[in-house]
Amino acid sequence: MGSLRRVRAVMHKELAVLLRDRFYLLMAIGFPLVTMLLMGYGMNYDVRNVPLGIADLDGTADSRALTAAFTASGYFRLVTVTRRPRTLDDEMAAGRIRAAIEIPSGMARALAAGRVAAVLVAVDGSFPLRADIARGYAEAIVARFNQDRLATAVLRVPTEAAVPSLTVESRIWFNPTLDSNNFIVPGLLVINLLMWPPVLTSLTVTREKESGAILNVQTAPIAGWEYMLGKLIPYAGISFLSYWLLLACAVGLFHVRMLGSLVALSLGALLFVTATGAIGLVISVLVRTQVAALLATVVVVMVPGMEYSGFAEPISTLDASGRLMSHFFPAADFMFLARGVFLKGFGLAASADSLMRLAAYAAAAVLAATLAFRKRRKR
Amino acid sequence: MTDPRPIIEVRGLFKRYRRAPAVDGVSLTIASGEIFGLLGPDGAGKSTVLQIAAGVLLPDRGQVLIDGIDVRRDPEAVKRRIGYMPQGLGLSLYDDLTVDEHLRFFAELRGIPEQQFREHRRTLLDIMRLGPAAGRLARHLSGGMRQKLGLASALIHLPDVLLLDEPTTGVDPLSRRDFWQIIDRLSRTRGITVLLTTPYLDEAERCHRVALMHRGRILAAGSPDELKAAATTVAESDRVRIEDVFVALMSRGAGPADASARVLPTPAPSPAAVPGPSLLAGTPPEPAIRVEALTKRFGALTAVNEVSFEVSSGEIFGFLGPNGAGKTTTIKMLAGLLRPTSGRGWVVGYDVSGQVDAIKHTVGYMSQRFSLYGDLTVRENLLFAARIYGLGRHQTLERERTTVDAVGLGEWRHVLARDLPLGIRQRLALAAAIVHEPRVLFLDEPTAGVDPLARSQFWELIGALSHGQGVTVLVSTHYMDEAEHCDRLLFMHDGHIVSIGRADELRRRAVAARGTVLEVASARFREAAAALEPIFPDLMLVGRRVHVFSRHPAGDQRRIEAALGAAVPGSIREIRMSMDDVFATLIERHVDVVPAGAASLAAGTGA
Repeated sequence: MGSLRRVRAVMHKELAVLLRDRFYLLMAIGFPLVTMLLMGYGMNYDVRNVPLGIADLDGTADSRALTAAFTASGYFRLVTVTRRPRTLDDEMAAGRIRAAIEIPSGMARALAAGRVAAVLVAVDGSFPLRADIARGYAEAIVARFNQDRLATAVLRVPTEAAVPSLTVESRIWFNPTLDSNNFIVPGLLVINLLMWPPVLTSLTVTREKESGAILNVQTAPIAGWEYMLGKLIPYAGISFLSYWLLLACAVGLFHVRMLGSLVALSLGALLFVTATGAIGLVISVLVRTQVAALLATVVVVMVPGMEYSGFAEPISTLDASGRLMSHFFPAADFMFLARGVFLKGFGLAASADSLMRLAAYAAAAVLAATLAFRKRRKR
Repeated sequence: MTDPRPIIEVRGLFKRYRRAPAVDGVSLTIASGEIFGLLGPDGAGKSTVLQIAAGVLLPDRGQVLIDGIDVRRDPEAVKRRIGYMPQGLGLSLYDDLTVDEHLRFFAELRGIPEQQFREHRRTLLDIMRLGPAAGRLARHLSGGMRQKLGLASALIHLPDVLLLDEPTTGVDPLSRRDFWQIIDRLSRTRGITVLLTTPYLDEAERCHRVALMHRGRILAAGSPDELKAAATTVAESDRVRIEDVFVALMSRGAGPADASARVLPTPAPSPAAVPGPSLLAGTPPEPAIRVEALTKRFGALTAVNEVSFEVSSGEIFGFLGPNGAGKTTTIKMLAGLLRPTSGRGWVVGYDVSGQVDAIKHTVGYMSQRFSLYGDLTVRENLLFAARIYGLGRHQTLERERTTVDAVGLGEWRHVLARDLPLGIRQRLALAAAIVHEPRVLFLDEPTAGVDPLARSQFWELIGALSHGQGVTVLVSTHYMDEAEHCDRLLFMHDGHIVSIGRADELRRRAVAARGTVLEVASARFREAAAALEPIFPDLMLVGRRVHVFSRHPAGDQRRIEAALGAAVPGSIREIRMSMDDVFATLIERHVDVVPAGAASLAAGTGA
């Protein structure tokens, strides 16, 4: 009963401070949204409109058809057409084009004679991921071009010798359009809820240490866990509010479809912000100043969080030590859950495992914060 | 009412921080109902003792018993009985909470039942006269009100023992007077025991007993009278201040560092050191500083409000006022660091709004906070200061030498600034401010927190610079007793000038407004106060003495004698009004408002 009052006292105070301090409110609500927007629009792994240069040394109907095949695909945007291959080198170096195609002179003649002709496709490898995808597109377009030619040739010369061939028909599950938004935006939701709650909480105790207000608490008969809980609840609460805004942003602005259970996702988010908020509190209890708390949060939470959460690369592609690291953070579990709910349509049952683990993380983090808090300093 | 039962016992306390011992064998016994002051400069170890007693800091050795409970063994039990107010003028308050929300927060932290909370709240708001401000956010409270709110918060459970860490530092004289009245009232009506720390040695007189602390040790403990009597010959013990006692004790038990600090060369006005060409050869016709209706606003806050004054060349001009009075803002405008909102000012003829570069070459500025580099030695700091003023190579070396000699830093020359004792560090800051031979020197609270010996040496230096070399010095302080070192004074309060003049002139004005001070000394001082209160409702209990203001000293003396009668024997004499009271009186007259709560305070409230 007395405990409840004390927890409530700390909560009320924190909440009042949080709601009346405009900067804190901005940090709690505004910053995550801004991060989401900036990163959501900035981070796009889709390869479209790659600037392309073509050196057409052939200058025939066939070479023009090949050029058209590239520009019509939508994956490439024709920037330069030239007769000098050197021009393309310069353009590539200047960054005006990211892909170059050199059509050798005599291509049409060679093809008509039934010989093989080689087309040079060069791709800027500065961004390996993009380069790889662009190369894939280029190869596909050339293959398509060959197929079309073959088809017309077969039509023109009907023989019995038409060779049946094997074709691949691939289906991409869960994200049929391979729209990277569907993958990135849920990830950003997780990253934001990973980053901002501990930033907020890591500042709260250190702020009181800097002003001396911590002495009010230390000289009062209040238990460590009461103080920690009173601190955590308002910040976890406001971070949970921030979750709803981020979710609205994901669905409303980035048009990410959510296939699974909203309840599972929200439950996961609540546990997750409790855990990350508590990690911030641990930091706040251990260091002395707000600056140190911020830096520690960046190093301890953000960097590993980005790296080992599966945000950019799947956990399964990490090596053994990386996978081990990922278990120290609740981020990987929530990432799995969030993407599962968004893309794979996870319901509560499918999410149960992740939820349990998130709950365990949250409990452990709160416990750690309580144990770390001292009412009497050594120095 | 004083009960000889000891309520706070400190036994053989030791506490070491990384570098030096903070508390080095402190033992104290404080009786129930006592007002006990722990006096000393910054770094003396006062706060450490208090924090250990409050159970928030673990000592290395020794113990503290509060009402028989060992704080080390059972800190939580102690916390229920004590109230603790941290240092820093309500810094530990929450800016975004109202007065009422603070009280409720502290009450809930301590689990006080609702009914009891309401009673305590009413009592405390009444005593502190915070009732009208109950709904106001802490950020909108004045310094004095914040301090009272801090006190009310620490008192919300009406504890038996109150630990106050520098409750009066930087507080304006009116609030300080209120504070002492509140403490006195709590001690009289509730028998509360108060252990407080203060860097103002003159506040010793307000305490029943004091301990003088320096470098973690207690130099002496006892009633102020006992200390004075022990430190001096009988004849002069009347005129001696606790400050003198402190200095005497410090030099008696001085370590090597002190010994070196005591040797202070008086800087001779060598021709090389004389700043500016024209100063000694005929005083310039215009005042060194002239200010007309200078105003600075920060948003809605008017920090400095139409301030006008003049300072003549070679004068030591003192800015006295509490924190937030506008001293620093005014100095910053004059030093060309802040642009005035309106009004004008000239320093050595240069316009403070327009000719900022010229001003920066002409003035030296020593800021409130230590603004030198801890990782550089004394010499390196000074060389750096000289170079950023664009002094040539030869001149830089030469000036470093002369300033080091002038302020007596010779043997500290190759010591890192961060390893210097506070008093020496302030001297280095002064040296850096005069390295380019300024004609005008702005010193912003140069002596804050410095021990009394270093302080008096610092003032000697300033005197030598000003009277010896003709440098104009504008110095701010919140130590009222430092007024005596200044040629003229300016009292500032809430951005306004309260009064300007020589110290004795100001005192005369205050006496004319309020009367002289009669001091009644009696062993039964509480009864004396009670007996005199009907006649002198604004009397003050100052430690073990009663002070009353009197317009007709002879007549009042007889009335006092009659009121005390034979039951309460005591002696009566006329004393000099303290600078604190002078300031308080002049503020009241300036504001033209008699404190509304004075009567109700005297009449008594609740409890």
